Amino acid sequence: MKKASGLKRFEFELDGRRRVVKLPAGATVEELLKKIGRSPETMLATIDGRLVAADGRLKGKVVLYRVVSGG
Amino acid sequence: MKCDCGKPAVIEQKYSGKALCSGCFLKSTDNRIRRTLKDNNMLARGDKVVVGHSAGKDSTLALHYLHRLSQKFPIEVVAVTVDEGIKWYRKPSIKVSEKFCKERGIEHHTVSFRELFGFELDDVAGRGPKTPCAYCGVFRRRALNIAALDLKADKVAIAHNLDDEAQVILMNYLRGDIERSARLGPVSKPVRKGFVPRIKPLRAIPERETLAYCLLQGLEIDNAECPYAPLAFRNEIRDLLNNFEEKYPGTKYAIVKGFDRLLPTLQKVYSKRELNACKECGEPCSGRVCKACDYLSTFFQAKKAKRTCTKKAVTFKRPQAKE
Repeated sequence: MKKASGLKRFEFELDGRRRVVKLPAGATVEELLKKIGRSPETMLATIDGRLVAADGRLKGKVVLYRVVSGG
Repeated sequence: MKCDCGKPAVIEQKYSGKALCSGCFLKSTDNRIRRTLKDNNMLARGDKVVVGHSAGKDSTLALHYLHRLSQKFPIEVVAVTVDEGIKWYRKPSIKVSEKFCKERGIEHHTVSFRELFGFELDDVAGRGPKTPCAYCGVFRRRALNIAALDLKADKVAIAHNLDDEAQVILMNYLRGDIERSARLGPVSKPVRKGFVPRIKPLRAIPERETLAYCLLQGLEIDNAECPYAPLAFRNEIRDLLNNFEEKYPGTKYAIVKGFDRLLPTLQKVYSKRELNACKECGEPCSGRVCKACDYLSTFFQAKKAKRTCTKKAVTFKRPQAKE
C-alpha cells in the first residue's frame, strides 16, 4: 500500500514558465520561496493577480516576480 | 498579517516593522517620494524634467509619479529612452515605453548609442578589460545629458532607488574612490556648463517596493533583466546587501542615511578640485580626456564622443499631441 507523503502539488509561474513543487497542504508564499531557494527580499508574489505578502496561502494562480536590477 | 487599518497586508516592511495593505502602501510610497523631492529641493516651478525611461519598474514609477505631479504642479515632463543596442532586451522595452507614454500623452524620445557614439553595446561587449556595464553606464549618462541639453531640460530624473544608492556607496568605498562618493547624493549639482543636474526622486524607496508599486497600480513594465547584468561587480554587492538586509533589516537605509550625514563634509573637501574640459569633446572630466572618449579611442574605432548640438542630425520624434 502506497504511503501518503502528506505533500501536495503546487503549480506556480516564474519568468513566464510554469513549475511544480511539492509542499504541505496550506503552504504559504514564504514556504514556496524557501523551497525553490529564493529570498523574500528578491521576490514578490501575486495570487489570482493580486499582490500578497509572504504569509499568503498558496490558493489560486500563483505568479512569482523576480526583483531584477536595472529599472 | 494585517495592516494597521485592518485590511489584509500585501507587503511586509521588515525595516519598519510594518505590514501594509495596498492602499496604505501606495500612499506611503507616494509620501516618501514627495518628501524626497521636497526635502532636497529637487524641483522648481517651471522646470522641464527629462525622465530616463527604460520601461523597467523604477523608471516607470518615476515617470508615473512625475507625470501625475505635472498635472498639479507647474513642471513639464518628457521621457527619454536610451537604446544601448542590446538585442532582444532593449527593443521590446522601447515598445513598452512608447506605449506607456502614448497612453498618458507624455512626450517621448529615443536616443541610441549608434546614433550618438557610433557603436552598439553588443558589438563591444567583451572587447576591453572592463565589463559591458562599465561602458554602458558612462555612455548612458552621456546620452541622457545630451538629450536633456537638446530638449533644453532643467533637470534629468534618474530612477535610482534605495538599493542602487546603497550599492554605489558601498562600491565606491570598496574601491577606495571617496572622491567619486562626494559627487553622489539626491541631487547632482552642475559642475560646469553643459551638465544638466540630475535628481533621484526614488532614493528612499527599496527596489522591491518599486516593483510592488507597479504591480499594484497595474503599470505596464518590462521586467526583463539585462543579459549583461550578472557580469557586473554591482551584482555581487547587490547579493551581499540583500543577504544583509534579510538578516539585519534596515541595513540599506542605514547605509544611505549614514552616507548623507557624511556627504556635506566630503563635498567640502572635494569641491575645491576643479574639473577640466575633455580635450576631445569638451565634457567635464577630472583628467585630460573624459571616460567616454577614452573608451572610444582605446577600444573602438577612433570615433569621438561628440556632443550633439542643434546642427547635428539626431532627430527626435515629434511630440504627440495631448488629448
